[in-house]
Parts: sequence; structure tokens; C-alpha cells
Amino acid sequence: MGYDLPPRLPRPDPHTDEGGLWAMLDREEERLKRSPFRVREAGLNDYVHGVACRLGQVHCPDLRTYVMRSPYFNANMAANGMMQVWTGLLLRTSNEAQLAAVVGHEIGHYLSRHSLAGLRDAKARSAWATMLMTIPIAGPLAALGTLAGGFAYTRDQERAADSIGMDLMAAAGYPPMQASMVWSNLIEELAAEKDWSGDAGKRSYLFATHPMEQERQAAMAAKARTLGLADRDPAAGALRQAIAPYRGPWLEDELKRRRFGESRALLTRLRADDPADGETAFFLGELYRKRNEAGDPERALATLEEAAALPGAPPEVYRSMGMVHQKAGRIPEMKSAFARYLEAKPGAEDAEMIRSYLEQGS
Amino acid sequence: MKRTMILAAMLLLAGCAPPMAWVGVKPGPVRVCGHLTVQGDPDWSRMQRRAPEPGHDAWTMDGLPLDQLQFFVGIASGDPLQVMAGHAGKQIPKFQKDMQAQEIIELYETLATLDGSTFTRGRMAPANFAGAPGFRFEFQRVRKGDELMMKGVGYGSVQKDRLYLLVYEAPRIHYFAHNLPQVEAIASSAKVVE
Amino acid sequence: MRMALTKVLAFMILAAAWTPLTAHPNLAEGFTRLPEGSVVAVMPLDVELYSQTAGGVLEPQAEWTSQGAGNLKAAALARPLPGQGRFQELPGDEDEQTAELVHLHQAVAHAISLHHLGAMKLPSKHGKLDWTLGEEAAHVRDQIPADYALFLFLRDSYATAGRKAAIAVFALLGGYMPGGAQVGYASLVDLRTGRVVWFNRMANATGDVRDPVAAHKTLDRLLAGFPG
Repeated sequence: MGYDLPPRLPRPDPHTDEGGLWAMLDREEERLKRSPFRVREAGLNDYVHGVACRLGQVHCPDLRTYVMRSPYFNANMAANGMMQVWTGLLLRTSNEAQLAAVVGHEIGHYLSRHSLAGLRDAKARSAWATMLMTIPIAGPLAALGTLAGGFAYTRDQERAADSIGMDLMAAAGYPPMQASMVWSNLIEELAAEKDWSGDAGKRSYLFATHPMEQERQAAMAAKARTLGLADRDPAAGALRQAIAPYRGPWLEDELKRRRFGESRALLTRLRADDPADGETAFFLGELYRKRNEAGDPERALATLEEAAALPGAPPEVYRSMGMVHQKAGRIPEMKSAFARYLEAKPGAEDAEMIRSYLEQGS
Repeated sequence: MKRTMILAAMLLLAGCAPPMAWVGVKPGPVRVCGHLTVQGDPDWSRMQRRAPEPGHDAWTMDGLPLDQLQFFVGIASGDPLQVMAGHAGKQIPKFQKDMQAQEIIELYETLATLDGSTFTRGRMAPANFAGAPGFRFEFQRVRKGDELMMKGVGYGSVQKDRLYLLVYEAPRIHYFAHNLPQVEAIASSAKVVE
Repeated sequence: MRMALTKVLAFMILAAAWTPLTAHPNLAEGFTRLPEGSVVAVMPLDVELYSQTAGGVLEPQAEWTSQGAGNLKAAALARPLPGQGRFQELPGDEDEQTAELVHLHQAVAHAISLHHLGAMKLPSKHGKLDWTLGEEAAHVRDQIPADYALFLFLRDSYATAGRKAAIAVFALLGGYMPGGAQVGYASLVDLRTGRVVWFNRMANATGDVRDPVAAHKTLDRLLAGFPG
């Protein structure tokens, strides 16, 4: 019952193909360390690393964790033990168990040395050719960015990693059903996007790796049922506490994607997870303001007003209200809102601009 | 850098016809996209295209991989700042004549972050541009392609329901501060013409 | 991976953007020669070596790259300079400021390649090599007492056996199939001003930096016309 972890993986001989892969990954890791996209806050990195270590057991000393600022849902562990977790993923995991599910899955790939097998396979099949031909020039190269060694895992490898990940979760004290929840949340986001923009996006940039298939999700749910352990605490509070100080800019990044269907599904879920959170309410209000479809200004205002009454709403909530009033020509309300913004944030970068609206009354 | 290289390659391959040549900007009044004039400065070069893109022009002092001065001229309500091939309609926001400064900056921010670059807004203040009350804004951007830290400044105003926007971006190290006075001179010389 | 993809693209675009080279050295105005006794910092090299499969696909080869970069650096460090000048490497790990300078230099080098040596010449430059890294280049002098810095860039691909076989077959049929190429540049920066005082571009069909002796030849080509 359960999964027997292999012993720690030794550093390969540099003259082997595995050695070559490690050397390439080591250099990529050096770049990653210095990258301006790296989120350096020690507390956050320690938290994520802690989850990885709990799952990885004896392999903990071989793992290095990097949190990278990117709005896509991605985590990736490379063959040399370097793990990236993107901020888009940290936004989307509702609790620590869900984070553990994704990290556990990646550790599963690492322990099974899937990237090496994949590299050998890719060379044989010139998968590189396929990769090079399908570069989306104007789209985010980042979405392809960190597929370890530049290829996708096979279906069998993904299924194997799912299973190992869940066993690791169980061994580390997490409720395994949360693994299945991660994916149903993502599928819901995609469906919401399709409803709004008509863009089904099978390969939505939401997923930096390939999307979950029904079959895999069903398999995970089935395995979770056999593992049981459903009454374990998924540790929602721990995750929320760990990311709370850093989450604002990530939510900004999320809205910048302009995939309002997905973002709205995400923000709605975050609000349901924690209805007393003013920050998520603010960003939902911002979504309506930016989306600006029929009825959105009213929705924006209602949501922003809710946000303002909750703890954690940033001072920008008043600026956004001001902007909505301004567009609707409600000048006194605009002035009142902008004045509150300046009061709350007198040193704001846009203070001069906002003051000019108060003076002109335009 | 990689993105601007790709951008340069795209300009060569896609959409509009390939650039004919790079020409030096002459001193004296220069017409940009038909409806804006600025005071020319021979330290700049511009692309002269066989079939110019309406409403958009780009100048540079040190080359596309380094600095770009972009003109968005007379953008009409309902149009995007720039036509971007390969992006779903709803993802690219359109200019609306009732937009305020922050929303116009959001238009630019969307273009600038399509490739995953970060964008951090800086100072924003009212300023005259092209002969009408408008705004000036600053920003920083980390380019996704080569992780180079860039600084930028933009000027804009809406006149007769059309948007006129000028945005300059250059590396944080040396180039932005060095070239800024010349950028500001061009911005302050801008005038809308029929 | 992003590193591989974007670098391969840069390689392809660089190669495509180049026009045939003339032999004259590229010197900035007012610079003719490295002064005697100069110390030249060898900046972290930007080298990627690929193998070219039968289908013409470029595959990064990490071991070759480490070898090639090492060989080139060793060749540079061993190269004599006028009047007991020397090439010297930077100590330890690259710090963030140095990394940003290197990124900036990449962009500067592409600008020089595209707009000075390439087809998209900028009239505003009046044909001069007039680019700089600015005063922050002096940060390198905080690490070693260098007067100048040398940047080297190399992209090289080697035909695999499968590719060579394909080339041979194609040649028999009267066709031509390219079999790997070497492209690169070398640049010399005055660390007191940040100015690029010398820049050379290289493109070749042959060359092999995986071998230390051949790497010397490649370095000679990169440094053709080096003013020192």
C-alpha cells in the first residue's frame, strides 16, 4: 500500500546524456536565481519549500524551490531537483493540500526520472522539431518556458505522477481528494471563459502544461476514494496566510491577462473561500470595471462598495469607485471617492492626476 | 531584446509590407501618420514603409532592440491602439472616447504585457500634449524575452474624440535618462493637424 | 525550454539579418588601439552549441556548450595583449548588477548587428560605431581592476552523422544543404565610459570550439582585427 520512494538520486556523470541534461538545467537554474521574475521573499519560498520537503521526505535536501512571477498555472520540477512554482498557481490553490497535490505530482515526475526518459524519446522522435514549429510568436513564450528539457510528458507518465503525488500527499498527512479539486476548479475557469468570450481554448494559456483530461481526473477521484482520509484538514488557513502579503500584484497580473471569464471564476471562488476578504472583492470589482460590458459599471460599484467595508481592501478601492462614477458623469460621487483615495494614500503615484479631477470637476 | 527582434522579424514578415528603409528624421516640422506634427531631431531614425500602418509609427535613436518611440495618432473610438495579429478580439481592449488617463494607460499596458513582461506604473500627472489638456505617465517594464529592465514615459490627450499618444521606452541603464530630454522636446512640440 | 527556444530564434534571426562582411575593423571614433598594459575583463561568455539533426533541427547540447565556453574562455585568457596587458576573468558568481549589464550588452550587440553592420542601418548614427553601456559599466571595475571588458557571443551548430549523411546524399543529387554554421560577435567596452570601442561579427561554415585547438581558431576569427 502506498508508494515506496526510491533512494536519493545521485548526480550523474557529466559525460552521459543525463549529465548533459543536468548541466543544462544547472545553467538554467543560475539564470532563474538572478531573474527579475523571481519572487525572492524568504517567508513565501520557505513555505512552499516546506510543503515540497514534507512530500519529498528523504529527497528534501536535493530539492530547491523558486517562486516565479507569472500568472499561469504551472509548477515544474526539473531532473536536477530545481522546482519552480508560478504565482498563477499559488493564486489558484485554495488550500495547502491542493498545493501539495501539484507539487507532489511534480515530485512524482522527478522521482521517476520522467524528463530523462522524455529527453531520450524526444531526440529519437525529433520532438524538438515539433516544439520549434509551434512557437507562438506573439503569445507568451513563458507558457512554454519551463517544460523541463523542452518536451511534454507522455500520458502514462502523467498518470503515474498523479498516482505518486497522491500517495505522497497521503503519507504527508493531506486529504488526497483535494488533488481532484484542483483540476475541477481549473476546468470550471475554462468553461467560464468559453461562456464569456467564446474561446474554448483547449490549450488555454491558463495551463502552461497540457490540460487535464476527464480520464485522469476520474482516476484521481477514484484513487482518492480508495485512500479515504477525507476528514483530514486541507489547511486552507495556512496557505492563505502564507500568500496574503504578496497576493495583490499577482491578482493585478491576473486581470492584465484580460481573460475575464477565467478571472471571474477564480475571483468568485476565492470570495466563496473567504467572504471577509476585502482584497479579492476589490479585484472582482476591478474586473467588472475593466470588462465594462452591459451592466458591469453597476456590478463594479456594488462589489467595490462591499469591498470597502471589508478588512484588507486596498485604498485603490476608492479610486476605482471614483473612476466608475467619473465615467457615468456622477461628479459629486466621483469627487467624494477620489478624495477618500487621496486621504488613504496621499503619496500615491497618480495623486497629481486624481487631484486634477477634483479641481476640474471633469 | 528577443521580443523586439521577433517584433522586427514580424514587421518584416507580417501585416504591413516590409520596411523600405530607415531614414533619418530631419530637423524642422515632421508629419507623423498624417495628423500629428512634431519638431524633428536628427538623432532619431524612423522606418519608411511602402505601406505604412495607419495611426502608428515608431522611431528609435539607438535601435529597435534598445529604444522605441511609439506614436499612436488619431485612434478613433472603438479601435485598438494597434492591430495585433493572433489575439482573440476580447483580449485587446479598444479605445473609447470617454476614457480617462488611467484607462488609456491600461490600453498601452495590455500591449506591453502581452508577452508576459511585467509593467509597473509610476508617476501620473496632468499635462498638455499636442495642444490640449492631457496626461503624462511613467512606468517600468521587465522585458520577458531578455529580462532587461526598461523605463518608460508616455504622453496623451484626446481631441475631437480621437486619441493621440506618445510612448517612449528604453533600458533603465543609461539609455532612458540619457535620451529623455530629447523625448520631452518632441512631446512638447507635438501638434494635431487636420 | 525558454532559454533554448529564444536563443535558437536569436541565432536564426541574427544569421538571417547579416549581410556579407567586409574586412575592415569596427572601431568607435577616437579609438585605435588598446593602450599598453591594459587589463581586459572577460565577461561571462554567451555560448550555445547545438547539434543539427538529419531533419535540420537544432538541439542544444549542454556538454558541448560547457566545453566550448570553457575552451573559448581559456583561449582568451591565454591570449597576449600589448605591453604586458592581460585578459582576466571575473571572480565568483555573477551578481545582479553584472547580470543586468550583460543583458544590456546583449541588446546593444543586437542593435549594432542589426543597425550598424546589418541591413537596417540607422541614418542618425552616420555610419559610426556609437553605442554604450553607460557609466554603470564601471561596476565591473569594482570587482577587478580592469580598464576594458570583452564580451563574446557564439552560436554554433554541428551536423550529426545523420545530417552529414543527408548532406552527402543531397549533394549527389546536385543540391546544397547547409551543414551547421558558426555565428558570433566579440565586443570591447571601455569600462571608464561604457562605450563599445570595438565590435566584430563573425559568420562561418566551419569551426569547432569543442576542441581546444580549434577553439583558438574560432577565437582568432571572433577577434579578427582586434585592436590589441
